[in-house]
Amino acid sequence: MALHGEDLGAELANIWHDGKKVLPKVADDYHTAWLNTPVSISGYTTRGGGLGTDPGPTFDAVLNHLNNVTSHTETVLDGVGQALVWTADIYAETDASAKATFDAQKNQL
Amino acid sequence: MTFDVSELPGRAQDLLTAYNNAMMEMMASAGAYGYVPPTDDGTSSKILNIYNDFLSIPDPDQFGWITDDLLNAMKQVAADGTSSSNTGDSSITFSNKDLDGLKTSGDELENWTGVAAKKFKSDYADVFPSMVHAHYSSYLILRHAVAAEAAVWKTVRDDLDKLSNDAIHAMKHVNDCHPNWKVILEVAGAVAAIALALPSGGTSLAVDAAATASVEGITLTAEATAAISEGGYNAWNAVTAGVTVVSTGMDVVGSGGGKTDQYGVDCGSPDQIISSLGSVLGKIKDYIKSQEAKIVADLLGLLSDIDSHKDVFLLPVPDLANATKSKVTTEMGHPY
Repeated sequence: MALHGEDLGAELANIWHDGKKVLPKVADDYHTAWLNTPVSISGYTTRGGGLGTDPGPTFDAVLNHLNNVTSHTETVLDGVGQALVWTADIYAETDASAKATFDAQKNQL
Repeated sequence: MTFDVSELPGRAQDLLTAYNNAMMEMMASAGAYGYVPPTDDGTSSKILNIYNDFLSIPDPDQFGWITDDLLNAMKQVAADGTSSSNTGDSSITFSNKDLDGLKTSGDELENWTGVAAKKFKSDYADVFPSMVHAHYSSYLILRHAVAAEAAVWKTVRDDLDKLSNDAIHAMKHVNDCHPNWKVILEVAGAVAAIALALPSGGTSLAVDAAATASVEGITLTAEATAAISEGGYNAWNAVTAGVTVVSTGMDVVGSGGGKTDQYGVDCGSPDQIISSLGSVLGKIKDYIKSQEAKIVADLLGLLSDIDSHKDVFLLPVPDLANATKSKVTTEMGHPY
């Protein structure tokens, strides 16, 4: 049976909190990881001839992968967080009792 | 501060001077005064250019900011259970508790009826911890590879510093050198790289605990082994010992236990010194090639793992992430 009233309000507050606070925080952490991932380090591995094969391009390939996955993860988490906030706000408008509980709990979060 | 290779041309000049003096002494001792250094047999230019291949090489002091930044990134994706005991990195002493929130959020959506809500829980939030471990492992491997690269060049520069000075010393004492005198180099004692392994990936993320525990050079506690298993880490074959790179603050140890190889510079005659110096420089080149080949092999192994486990490293975008405001309630359904 679908939730209504105060129970729905409490559930919506949890969803709102996840969307507004929890997921954006993880997204921010991934953004920080991305910021701390160099784009390239091959400029530091160059050498003159006769000294083997420069590993720089291989280093850069791994960095490219890490930049992609951290940026991708941040984007996904921000998108899901936004969806959860929308959901909570929209549902709260459909039930006065739920909205009262939702607003009260939201202000405490 | 590592050795500045811009000093090498000056040392080559000093070596040439010592060579010419040694030749004059040898001629004088044989009664042939008035030795004039040859100008057309290439010996002078050979000596002056003997270090030329090493004048443009990586500076290990430049790698510190890279390992620092990568450590900062690692801390963001250090999931629950991550610590120095199961990563082998004493720099990691905590896990990022923020990451636990995603699992909680996924659980929240379990009671929602919408397909997108349920799929976010089952296809993303539940798999997220494994993905975080994969990201962490990737950073761990890369950071150690960078440290290994820095260690290679620190070793090379240290050896060049010692070798170039010792060659001059040997040349100055060519007529009275001890036959057993040797230049002891760090060459090839070596910096093996990393060989950290990634999570085994796939849906099971099963870990071979036996393999984990038997990793060369690493003794894992039962707790650490369990934590690694739970976290989806496979073994990491830390190889360190012997070379500490100041800029990175990391120890990099060779699988040979940090031993060094010794190469003699034959001081029987000035020309023999030059010849054996060239030979040892060749050993250094071989060392660079062999060590960097190990580093590249580890990095290629990482890239191969990434390609074969894309489902773990780069989760598909959940429908919920692309929901529009007008349709989001359809995506979420209703809680019950």
